[in-house]
Amino acid sequence: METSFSHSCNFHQLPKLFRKKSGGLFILEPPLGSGSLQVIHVARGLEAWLWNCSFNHEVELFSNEMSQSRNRYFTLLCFLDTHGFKLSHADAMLGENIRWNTAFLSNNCPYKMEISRKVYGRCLSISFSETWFNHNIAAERERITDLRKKVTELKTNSLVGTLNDSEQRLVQELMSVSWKKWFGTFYIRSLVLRIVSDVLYRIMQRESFSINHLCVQKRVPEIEKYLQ
Amino acid sequence: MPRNEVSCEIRDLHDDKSFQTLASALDGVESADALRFNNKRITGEIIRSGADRGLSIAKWKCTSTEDICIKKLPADSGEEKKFLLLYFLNPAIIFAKKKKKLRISGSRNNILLSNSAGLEFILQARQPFYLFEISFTPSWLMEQLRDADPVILNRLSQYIARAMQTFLMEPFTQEEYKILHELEVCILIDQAEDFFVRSRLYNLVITFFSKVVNRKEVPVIQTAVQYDQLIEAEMLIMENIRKPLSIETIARKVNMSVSSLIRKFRMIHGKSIHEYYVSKKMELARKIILEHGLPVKKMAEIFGYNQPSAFIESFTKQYGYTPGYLKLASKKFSFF
Repeated sequence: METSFSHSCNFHQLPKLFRKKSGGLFILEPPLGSGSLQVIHVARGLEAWLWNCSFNHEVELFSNEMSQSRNRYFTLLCFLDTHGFKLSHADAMLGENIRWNTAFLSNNCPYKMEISRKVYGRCLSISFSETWFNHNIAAERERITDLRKKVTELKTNSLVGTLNDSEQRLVQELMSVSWKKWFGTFYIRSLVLRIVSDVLYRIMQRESFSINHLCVQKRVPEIEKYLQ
Repeated sequence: MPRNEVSCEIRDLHDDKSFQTLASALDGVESADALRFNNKRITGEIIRSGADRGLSIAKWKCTSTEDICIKKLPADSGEEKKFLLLYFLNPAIIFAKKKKKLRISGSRNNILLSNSAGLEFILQARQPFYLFEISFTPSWLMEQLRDADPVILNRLSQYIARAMQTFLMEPFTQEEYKILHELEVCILIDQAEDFFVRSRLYNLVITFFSKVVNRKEVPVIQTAVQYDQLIEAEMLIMENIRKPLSIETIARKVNMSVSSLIRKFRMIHGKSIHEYYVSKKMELARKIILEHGLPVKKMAEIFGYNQPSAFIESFTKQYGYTPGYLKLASKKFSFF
């Protein structure tokens, strides 16, 4: 059965559903819902959103893969709890029966995110532009060139995963009211960069993102040898 | 006073000039951002990495056969002001103002000083010397803290004013050990990834200043750690991931008592040796499932489990889903 969404908007238009308060703070008010969205400009081309809110109706957020925008950007979503959130990509849907709490998406990839009503969402989303990536991450090293290739492939694909203990702790720390926030953007930047670098490092460590069934028999001895 | 030993004078701990001086005095070989020693007197390396303009790091990891005294002279008056944040990972001996001998141990192995200060440290014979040193300029720090709360800025200014006058010695926090360990095992090799280094450096600087401005909130570790032995223990765990060594064997191989190994390993990693071993094994298993889609039975066999159910149980405990489930789900989505 098709669900009709009370609100359907482009992912990066989300703050428009909120009322802007001081600085980067946006408040969600009735009848739409309650809670807040903190938008933090970490650096030029790098932004972090701290979601702490609940909608009174179902909300659908989608990518702008149809747009001809030349500003490509990537988003890393880190959920403390994905209950009530569904992510779909092409025909496949990641719902409550598939466990995930992180997604790495390109604005060019055709994804949709459905948020159930009355679900309290706590999420950190980090977005960075391709220009930021090229200036800050991509250097002329073989391993980085390989990472760039993998990330570039995201323009038509998306990656999902699970946060490890350490990453989960960093996200929790960012979401919490910590006295360390008195250090200002430096503190936020240090944690955001650490999370981004961890995820990119994990992506870099992966040989490929598709199962190589054809070589299974050939690879077993290699893996066994590696583990010896 | 230091004994009769080889000594070497440098003005900065990791600039080009000091690399040249160290290379010439200790017969080292320079290559890009590394200085390597492999001679009768000293083996090991110093590797540096620049993260930002005004922020850089170097790692010293070496063992000598005789005492070597490194004298860091005060910076010239015309030289740019810098702060040095030193992390001694193994116990060490330094000589500070008026040649006062200071033993670097667990309760004060993290030092902040200005480059206008002089410092001598001894690479003791046959004692692995392990040092991470971060250098940053006051302007870099002020730029980072431009929107910090005035209360924090006030406390920091007071602390920094003291650092201009004297050495400030602090104990490590567990977080600092963790970050330094990540730097040690993941980077600062020839293929150092700048973005990874930068993120960790920011974290180290923030963690250092967090502990000095709010001592009550940041727990510190007061015990001395022989870090090279813990690194060796970790390597033994990783090298024997299929058939684990007993804790007694690891302790014997790294020359530590079992109780000390257990306690200090947990201090650095925040988990027991067994928990660490299982988590690393499951990380590897997950990677193999995602890249090669091996059957669970085969995976259990590869990882040394007699029964697939035991492997499934360990995997599920770590990830919250079974290996079979991951294999199935990865057909629809790309997992990282």
